[in-house]
Amino acid sequence: MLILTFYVDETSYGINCQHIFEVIPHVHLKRSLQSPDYVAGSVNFYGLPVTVIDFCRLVAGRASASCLHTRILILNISIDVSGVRHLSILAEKIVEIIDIKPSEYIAKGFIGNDLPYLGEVVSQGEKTVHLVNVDKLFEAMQGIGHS
Amino acid sequence: METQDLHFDRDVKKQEANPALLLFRKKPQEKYIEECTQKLEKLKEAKEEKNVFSIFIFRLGNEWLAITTTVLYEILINRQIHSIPHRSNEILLGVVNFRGKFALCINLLNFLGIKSEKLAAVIKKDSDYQFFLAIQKEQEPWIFPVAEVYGVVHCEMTSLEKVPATRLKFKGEYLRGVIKWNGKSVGYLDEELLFHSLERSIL
Repeated sequence: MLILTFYVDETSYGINCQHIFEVIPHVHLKRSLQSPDYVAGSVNFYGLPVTVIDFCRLVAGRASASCLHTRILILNISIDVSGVRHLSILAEKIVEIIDIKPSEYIAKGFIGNDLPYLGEVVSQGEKTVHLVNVDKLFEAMQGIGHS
Repeated sequence: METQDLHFDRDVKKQEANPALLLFRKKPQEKYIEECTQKLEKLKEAKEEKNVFSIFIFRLGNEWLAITTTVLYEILINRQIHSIPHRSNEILLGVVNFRGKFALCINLLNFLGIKSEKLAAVIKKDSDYQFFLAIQKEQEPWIFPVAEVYGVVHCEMTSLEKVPATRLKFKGEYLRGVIKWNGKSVGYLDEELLFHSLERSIL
């Protein structure tokens, strides 16, 4: 499976490309004063407002650095009667996609993890990538913003 | 976090080795971000247009046909066809002077099997067939006379319909589909197959 990777400091995270709709630059976001601080704002995505979660704030308590490899991943959450629903993640060091074989997949390899959307790990040689469970992330984010 | 400690050094080294990370480490320019933000808001309209393809519509006998503009090289008017002794037949008409070189001229009507009352009069006399289309992919160009040229039309992918088995009286396998245009059914030629078949049968 194809995994898009990003980093928070030294830790590598990944999302299955099936869930990724588009990767866009860190464009201007509309901030909402009532949202928690890990909500960076909402992006005007072809006329649709999509909530942007700052992944660095979520796991490390600091804002994502402002540089060209900090980008926004627009994720597919569900396609239902009302159309496609999106959620997006703002993360650092989005520059690579890796191809993982089933043998490299390790379930529940992350020790001491409280976050429901992390827990599965893939390992490729020296690299360890913590997979983000997009559905669980969305569940956790329900009720925030527009998506 | 045990897992993290074990891979700490290796991950950091791996990161530094990625040239993309070095290249994109700088802060983006405000102007660039502004442009991207605006483009993203508008982009939906442009994306919807992407499913448009352009075709050139012409007539052969009673059939209206279309070919993708990407292979249409030139439209020629009033060319003389020089027949090749012992080689010219109903399909290979001869050669035509095309940009200083000889290009093969074929009777696409016959090749596709289109019946036309004016079949006998085709090309030998001026009659209707004054226009010639020159199509080319990578190899040599192919020239063929046509009865009428309309011009370039932009079509949406959705307007391309399947070829109805009953309608066509000629080799429907050379068509990608049928496009409704101006109250007519225009056969959209499969240029890949056409080039391939022409090369095999004539060259």
